[in-house]
Amino acid sequence: MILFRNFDIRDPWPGGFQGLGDVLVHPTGVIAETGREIQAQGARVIEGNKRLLVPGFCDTNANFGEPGLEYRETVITGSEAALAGGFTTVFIYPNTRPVIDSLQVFEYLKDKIGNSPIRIEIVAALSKNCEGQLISPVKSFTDVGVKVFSDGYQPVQDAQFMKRASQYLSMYDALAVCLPQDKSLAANGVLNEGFQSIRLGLPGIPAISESVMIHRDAEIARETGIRIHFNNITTRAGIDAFIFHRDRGANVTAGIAPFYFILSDENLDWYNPNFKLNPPLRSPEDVLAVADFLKSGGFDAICSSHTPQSEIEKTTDFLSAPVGAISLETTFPLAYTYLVKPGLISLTRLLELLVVSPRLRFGAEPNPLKKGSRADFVVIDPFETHSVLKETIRSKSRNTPFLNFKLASSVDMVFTRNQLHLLYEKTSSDYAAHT
Amino acid sequence: MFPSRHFTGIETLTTEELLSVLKLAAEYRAVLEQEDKNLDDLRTSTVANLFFENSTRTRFSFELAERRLGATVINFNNESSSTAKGETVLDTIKNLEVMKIDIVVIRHTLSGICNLLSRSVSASIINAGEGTHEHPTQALLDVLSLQQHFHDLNGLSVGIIGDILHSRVARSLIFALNLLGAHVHLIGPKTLLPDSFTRFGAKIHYQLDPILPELDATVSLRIQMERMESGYLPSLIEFHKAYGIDERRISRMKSHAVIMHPGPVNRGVELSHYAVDCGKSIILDQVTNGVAVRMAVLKMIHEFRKSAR
Repeated sequence: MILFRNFDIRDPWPGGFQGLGDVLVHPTGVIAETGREIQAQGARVIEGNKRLLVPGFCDTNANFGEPGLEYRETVITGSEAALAGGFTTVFIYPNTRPVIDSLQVFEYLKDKIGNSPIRIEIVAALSKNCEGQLISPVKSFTDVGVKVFSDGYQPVQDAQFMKRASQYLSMYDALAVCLPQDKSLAANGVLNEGFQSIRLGLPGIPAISESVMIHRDAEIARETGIRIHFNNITTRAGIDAFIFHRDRGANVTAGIAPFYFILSDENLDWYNPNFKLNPPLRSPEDVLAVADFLKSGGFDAICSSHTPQSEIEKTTDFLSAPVGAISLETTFPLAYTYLVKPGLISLTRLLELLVVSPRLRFGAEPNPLKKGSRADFVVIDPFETHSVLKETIRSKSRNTPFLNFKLASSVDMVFTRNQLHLLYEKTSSDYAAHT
Repeated sequence: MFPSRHFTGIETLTTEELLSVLKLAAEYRAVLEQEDKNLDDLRTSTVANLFFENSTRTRFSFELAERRLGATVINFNNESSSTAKGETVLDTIKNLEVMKIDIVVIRHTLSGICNLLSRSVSASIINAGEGTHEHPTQALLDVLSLQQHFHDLNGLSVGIIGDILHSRVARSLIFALNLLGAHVHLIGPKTLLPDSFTRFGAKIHYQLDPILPELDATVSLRIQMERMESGYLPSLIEFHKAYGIDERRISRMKSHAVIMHPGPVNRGVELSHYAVDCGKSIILDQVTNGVAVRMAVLKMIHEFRKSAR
């Protein structure tokens, strides 16, 4: 038995425990009791010093590198990064080499993820090779437990194909995840179309490349009954399109990664490829729109959009560099620092966005902090601060625009799959300031 | 003197720095009129000209400037490497560096290549035109030409005409004109002239004729043929009708106004034959000034390296 004693417990699941208390974990990895001043003779005691204890986060959008791109991220390094960020369930996307579009590749990966300390859910390709032309074997995938389909960062361009794939997926109540981007409008763009693209002389990706696609996909959702989740709506125009269709009955939800409510294209560091993302960092007005939409409760999830790229690949000019940034380790601290601390949203709301709604929408196992459920939680010190340093990154890649950012909070430990992971251990004197 | 060992753009210069390089360029311009045009300021320097993109005049202009200053010069012209990515170019430069090259003059199709190189190597990088970002020595020769004609650029109205979106010449020139207090008017079709340019303090015009009588100078930009294929423009004829400088339009220009073009001119498109050769055209002065400004840039980089040693 392990007794987690004297924690500030925040369980965002309905009826969940709130306030100072203890959690007793049975050796089988199930919660034996959650409450105040639990007595447990002979249990190993972990002192909380009023640190936060919350259910493990669920990431709805991460890329690892297996199979084929192991030099960017393996299941193991990706899992370590996830743990360090408080994520105990991670949905990984199929844009690997080969693409996860067949049961063979799926089984290969399934084998690998069995060794992970966290729970990894595989998102299968929506189309063969994510090329948007042939529907992937949806029944075969759903038979082995896949609930989510996506072409990841190669969104379907052909409207007819999207309609048919949606009809097909809806028969199995599968969730389609779309990165809303019309490639004919995005063309060869590498950053947001606007003043910065003009200034740097680089081809831009206009905001309407996002909104046009949201209109299309949401219309298809209404027509076919498919459930669609949008990864990252980053522009005011996109948010307006999303609201329009959601309010008219389309079964659509949306997630957002911290890049898009913190950084704008004004933060680009000349041609530093660590700032090259897809979707790109948008205008300051768009960042405000995203923040407002978060504030008003519009987004359904905060995701990492973790996209590792090797340092060698990123050591090039902005045009040639691959897109994306790692972010599993920084998602919670960034959201806590930039959303909760300034009072934009409450901690409870942030937990809903990281714990509850992603699990419900994506069909992952609920993880309330109550007796009988599997112990799956994170210990966070909200009073700590830490800096994002290249040397302490656990991901195999180092590409992040947040290098040297000083962030509030630290993820101190994670309990999941009946394992306690101590991530940020400190001496008791560290607590003197806030006990 | 430049504050940095590299010369990658006008955007990061101050007015004082710009004026000092123009002053030195004017001095070299006078030298070019002498019988003995050769100096030995850069006798101890080795310069590599790396042209990954087609260029005749800029390459000759740089090479002449280097030789007039007495530098050791090597040339690398390889259009077939024009698709070389940043990391490949970086490797090339690192190889040149260990062969004791002091200054690298580079032209490449990639915007940002000079930024990448200047962050990673100790040789000095001079931007001879990169992608659609900056072409700073072109802007220097343009403003030197304007200085020779108007003396002071403060309050002057300069119209830049054509494909602004894809023009590195336009960007550098806007920065330079801003530093010198000139009014910048950008004139071109909406497809090639995004609103965002107003944030540079420039005025935007989709029609040439209404603004033309107010301009002291016009700088027409070369139109690339691929703009038609990509749907930016219907045809060259249509472009000429809307934005071409011809005899009829010249008659509506101010009497002291000058006509400029970074070259090479598509005759009958940006400028009519008449416009290229008429008395208002200072296109050939621009070319001579090109050698002088490049000499000045090389000299200032050389001095910086000497003082930093």
